[in-house]
Amino acid sequence: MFATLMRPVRSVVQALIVYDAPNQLAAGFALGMVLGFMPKANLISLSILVLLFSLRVNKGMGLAAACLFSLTQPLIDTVGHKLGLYVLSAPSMQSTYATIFSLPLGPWLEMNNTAVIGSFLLGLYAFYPAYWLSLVAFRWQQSRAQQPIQSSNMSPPIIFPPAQAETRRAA
Amino acid sequence: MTSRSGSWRILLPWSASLLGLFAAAHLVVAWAIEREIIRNGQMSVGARVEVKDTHLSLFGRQLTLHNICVANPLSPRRNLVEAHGCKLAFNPSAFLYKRAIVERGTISGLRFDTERKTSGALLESEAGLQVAIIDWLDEGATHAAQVWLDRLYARFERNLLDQLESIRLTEVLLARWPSQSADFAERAQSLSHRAEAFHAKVRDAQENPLRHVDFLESVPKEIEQIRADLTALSRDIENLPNLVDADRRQVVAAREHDQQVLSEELQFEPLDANVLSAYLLQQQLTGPLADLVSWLRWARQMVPGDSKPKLPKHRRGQDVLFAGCHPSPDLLIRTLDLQGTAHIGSQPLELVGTLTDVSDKPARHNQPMRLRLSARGSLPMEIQATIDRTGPVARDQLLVDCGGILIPKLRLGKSHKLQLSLAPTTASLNVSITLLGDKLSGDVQLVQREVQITTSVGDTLAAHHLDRELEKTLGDIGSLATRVSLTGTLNQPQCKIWSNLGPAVAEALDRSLERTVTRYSRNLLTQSQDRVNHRLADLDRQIAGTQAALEPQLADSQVTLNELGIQPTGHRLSTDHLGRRLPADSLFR
Repeated sequence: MFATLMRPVRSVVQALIVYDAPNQLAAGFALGMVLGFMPKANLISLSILVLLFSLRVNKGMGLAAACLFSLTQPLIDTVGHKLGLYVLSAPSMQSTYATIFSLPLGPWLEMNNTAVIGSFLLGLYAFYPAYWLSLVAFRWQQSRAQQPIQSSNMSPPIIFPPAQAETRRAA
Repeated sequence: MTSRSGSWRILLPWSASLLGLFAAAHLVVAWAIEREIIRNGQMSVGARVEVKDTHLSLFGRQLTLHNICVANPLSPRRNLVEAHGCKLAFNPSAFLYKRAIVERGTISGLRFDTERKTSGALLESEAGLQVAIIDWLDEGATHAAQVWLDRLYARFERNLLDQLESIRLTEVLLARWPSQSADFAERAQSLSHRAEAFHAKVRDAQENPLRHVDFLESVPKEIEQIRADLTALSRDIENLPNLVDADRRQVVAAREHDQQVLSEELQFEPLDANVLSAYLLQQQLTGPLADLVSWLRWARQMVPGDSKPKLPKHRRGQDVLFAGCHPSPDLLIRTLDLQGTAHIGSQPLELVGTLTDVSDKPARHNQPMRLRLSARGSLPMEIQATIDRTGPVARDQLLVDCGGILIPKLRLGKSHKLQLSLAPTTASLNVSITLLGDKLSGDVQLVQREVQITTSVGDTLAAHHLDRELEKTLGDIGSLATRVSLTGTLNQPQCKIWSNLGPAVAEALDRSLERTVTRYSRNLLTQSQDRVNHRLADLDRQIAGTQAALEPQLADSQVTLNELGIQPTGHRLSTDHLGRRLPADSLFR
């Protein structure tokens, strides 16, 4: 039970210091950021969460980023509301919005809410920059973390089971 | 074989997990719905809402609530409504559109105003309803009636007898008599002393006439003087009854004045019939009317008049309504069948009805909320309530049509000075109240048939049998109609009471007072006459006593004068006569 709960943390630590691919970490971080920006009780957030768990990205990093960026909600809402209001008020898009909204499950998307759409668009806008910056950061971090291990020819950290470590080293 | 067993090994736990999840979902969703119903119910009602058990059937798309109690916010020890069960059948496709639509529901075992074991009051912070009791009834009419009654009692309580002129004159006469009597007694005494002294002096002079020649010369004159005084006094004493006769004539003249004074003193301006209606009925109507207004306020607080629904406090952003989209409520109950019992007065009723188009945001629904209740049994009743938020102005309407309500014995009138008791009767009740925005209008009509009225008045008027007179007159009233017109606003309602009881009692009071006043005046005059006669008889007795007491004194004085030997015929004691009466051998003869 405890191991299950600790799995995302272990995944983050593992990814940061040794083996996980930096691009998976960066993608998880970027998706988590989008999730963190948005209000949670809607189908868009749920879809992003499903996406996070379905894609080959680092889940732990994604959840950690979601938690981290949830703290910025008051700041994001101010901008998100204005952006959402601007987008949702666009006259040319009204019929499209209405059509989507009147579809089954349409209201569950909460795409008529300014904060939802605004923060979602902000998240999408910031997705690639966040991905790229985090990718650079994770690469640098991993290179730093792997350097002493390679130079000292040490065994992998004890937090990983020996069999798994062997497998990963062979790979 | 291995792959089959392997697939079963995966399928079975997954199926078991899904089944477990499905079963757990029943419990969790049912619990969540129950909490939400309680939370929203308490926020709306302002009192505790309890649901004993909730059962959800996802397959049957049905929610069942058992033993629902909604406490009365105005009386926390009682339930506003209690229901044995509530079944709601949901439209599943509505959930795709984030809405909960109950196509048909049933509430069974409804009971109203039942007792609670625990208080249903919420903590102040939880309470969403604060009912302010405002003294909104017009007390002016009651005050005017009270003043009129006080004046009426004051007139009858005043001692009018002592204020009558005839009585006053008699008392003055009687008060004057002792001094008059003493005056006569003094005059008689003085005259007696004078006669006796003169008698003694004459006797002395007769002993030595030569020495008192001059005195003896004046004796006849003095005797004549005393006799004249004596005669005058006797005449005055004999004339005493004649002297009182003048005063008697004044007393008789005063009696006419007394009649006029009494008719002025006992004249009452008629009491306004509407004032009397308000005085008699306001106290009885205050409670039910205040309840009615409280319920209207409560309904308005349950379903606020402003069309903008309140957003949750922590709601992020703002919902935009797209062009061509119509706002719709999140929860809609299309039809809810109601079945239950109620008590009106002491009569049990079986209630059946429907509640339609109930929604959490009535302004977003195109149909007003409607309640139709009808009672079967001994008390036929129809109740229709409409809560309309479809227009720009909130409109609530309540219609009640009820025949055959048993009205218990009623005591009308605030003061003990005038109260009417109505024996138990049957009545028909019609209520038509409309609340447009905050503006209140409508009527409450109550018609009581075969009324029997008994009257009670204070001791002062009861002594004059005013209550009997009133009862005689009011006995002709067959039915009693009362109409209360409500105006003003919900926070400051005003009511106007009209009833045929007021005019009937006012007329009966006028007639009864006229008869009572006539009798009272006659009694007062008779009493005054008796008192005057009695006092004058006393005076006569006193005069006779004075005469009887003074006459012997006067007679004695007369005898004393007579003893001087001078006849009252006018013969005087001359010097010659005195000389002849001297002895023959007297030197002076």
